[in-house]
Amino acid sequence: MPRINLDIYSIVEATQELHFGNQKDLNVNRIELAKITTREGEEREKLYMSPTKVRGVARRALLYKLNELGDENVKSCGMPATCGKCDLCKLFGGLSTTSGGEEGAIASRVFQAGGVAIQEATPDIKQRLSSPTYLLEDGVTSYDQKKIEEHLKKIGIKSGTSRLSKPMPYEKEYVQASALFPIYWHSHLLDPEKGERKMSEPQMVAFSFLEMLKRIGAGHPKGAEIVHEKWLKDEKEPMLVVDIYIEPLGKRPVISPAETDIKAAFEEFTSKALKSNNVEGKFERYLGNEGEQLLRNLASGEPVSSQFIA
Amino acid sequence: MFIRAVKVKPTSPLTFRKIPFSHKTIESYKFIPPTTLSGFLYRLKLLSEGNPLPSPAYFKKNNVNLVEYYCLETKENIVSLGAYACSKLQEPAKFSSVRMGYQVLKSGHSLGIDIKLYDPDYQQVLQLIHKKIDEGKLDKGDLEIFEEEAKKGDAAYLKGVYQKLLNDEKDIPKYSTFNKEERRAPLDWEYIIAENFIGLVVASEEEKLYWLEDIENYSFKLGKEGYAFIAEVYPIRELYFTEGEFESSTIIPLVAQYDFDDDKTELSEIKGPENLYYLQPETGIKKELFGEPGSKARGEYFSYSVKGDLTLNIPKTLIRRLSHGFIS
Repeated sequence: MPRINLDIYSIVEATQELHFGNQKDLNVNRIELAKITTREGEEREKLYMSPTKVRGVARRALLYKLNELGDENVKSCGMPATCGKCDLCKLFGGLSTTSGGEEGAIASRVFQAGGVAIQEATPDIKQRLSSPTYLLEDGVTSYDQKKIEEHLKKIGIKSGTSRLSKPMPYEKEYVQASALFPIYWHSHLLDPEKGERKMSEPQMVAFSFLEMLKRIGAGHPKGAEIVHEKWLKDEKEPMLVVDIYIEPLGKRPVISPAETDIKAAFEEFTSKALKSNNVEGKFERYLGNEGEQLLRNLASGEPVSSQFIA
Repeated sequence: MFIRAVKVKPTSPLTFRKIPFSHKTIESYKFIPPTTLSGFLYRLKLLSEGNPLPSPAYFKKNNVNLVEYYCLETKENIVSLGAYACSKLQEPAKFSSVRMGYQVLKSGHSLGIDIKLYDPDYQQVLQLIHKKIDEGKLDKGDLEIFEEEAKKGDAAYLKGVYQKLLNDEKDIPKYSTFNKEERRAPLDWEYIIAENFIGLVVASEEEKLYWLEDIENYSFKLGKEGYAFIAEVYPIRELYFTEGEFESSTIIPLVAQYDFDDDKTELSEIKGPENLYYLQPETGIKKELFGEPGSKARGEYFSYSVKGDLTLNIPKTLIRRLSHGFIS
């Protein structure tokens, strides 16, 4: 079967607060923000789910999955020290620069894009504290710093006992719950046959996209979900478009990063998503529930209704 | 000469890494450099034709052999001028974030501070060594070296050896060659966001620009970071120059290099400037200073009315500089 291209266009919602770390100011963990220029020429900062972070989470999920399925080669791989030889590196790319060893690079064939939030919102700053919790010999007692320090010394912790027994509150920035992020994935020249691999390449793309949604976000809490709206008919379904194609015959549902109005953004996504022609042998577009069904079946190795995938 | 414009629409923030390279910051140009656009458009041509993409070559030589490069100048005999935001209102915004670099700060084998997927124990490493001995890739001497070195090392050493052997390393790495302490360096990474860039390509014959209409809606990775597709392909136009004062929509050469009898362009306001590499048949690659888009000059330029009120001013000196040696 010929190699295929697979694009995923989605609008993803932070289902609870999320932290996408940038740098740490004194006592404040800042999140990453993207700067955009509005159509009037003004600069604004927006919440940002960086595609590079999405990629890292997705790649890690695949690394674990391939190992779980019994792939032996992937044991030599890792992040950031990629091996450049396993099925994961052949899809996501790999760079091998060990001096004296084999040097080379494999270009990635899957790309993550999007990530600039739709609505204008500033980060939420919350105060956080890690309260100490230990099992002391005299059972449940009220908090006593001295007793905890003695306990820590007894179990062999020699340094940092004052930090571990008397925590300092710190501030952490979060992306607010309900922030909406367009997330796009593009992948090229995928081999639809499984062959010797534990997963076929389209399966790897679909699987890592879905897994990433559950795990995105630094620390805790984690997780985002595709937003559900009545965008196609009078029933809520995910705002998701999946294209499988040899020739790109569909208008790409890409939302302008300068757009701040949610309704206008949804309309832009919808009107572009509906502009395509499913041409036999060249292009297929799956919308909403159909798109999700396709991705889930593809991810778990179940048969799918696409003419391009066996 | 003829010119054709394409609308390059990013789907993500982009990075076009500036020279000179630094290991602490990655800065981005605010436009798509001519060389980057050239490779990108040529790659889209291959994709639209159903041709395979060339496998990446690892360039280690100092002498550039242009024939080895896959771009418009060497394969199609046309010249890329780069891609630019089409108006002041649409100048890209820039922001910078912290990213972890790949390089460790010391050389040598890595102890594998990355994620622990699989931790082999001593017996498992021995098994792998025996397997490699059976395959003829290692010998008994290597087994003895490992047994000695493993006494000095720890679990991280075992994992390091296991990974190296799986990657067909020919010798057992000694414990002393492993770094005991390493940190990955954080980088300040700059991104730009824009809605569109207008990409420009010139040729000596009109027919050489026909194929560009076939790459509409094709897409690929662009630059060091980011992805884009061709949203629109505009009609071919013939070049003609007017003389006067203009604000350049593209980069503009600062130094008059070639002895053109009619090249009297003078810059009155220089934005930037930026150091940029461009292709040149004699030396392969040349580095030079260019004024950024928005620089003002007096001289000859092409006032390119792309569509509607979308107009670009392209200095003659840029076209001359980049097409020198490739097309006349």
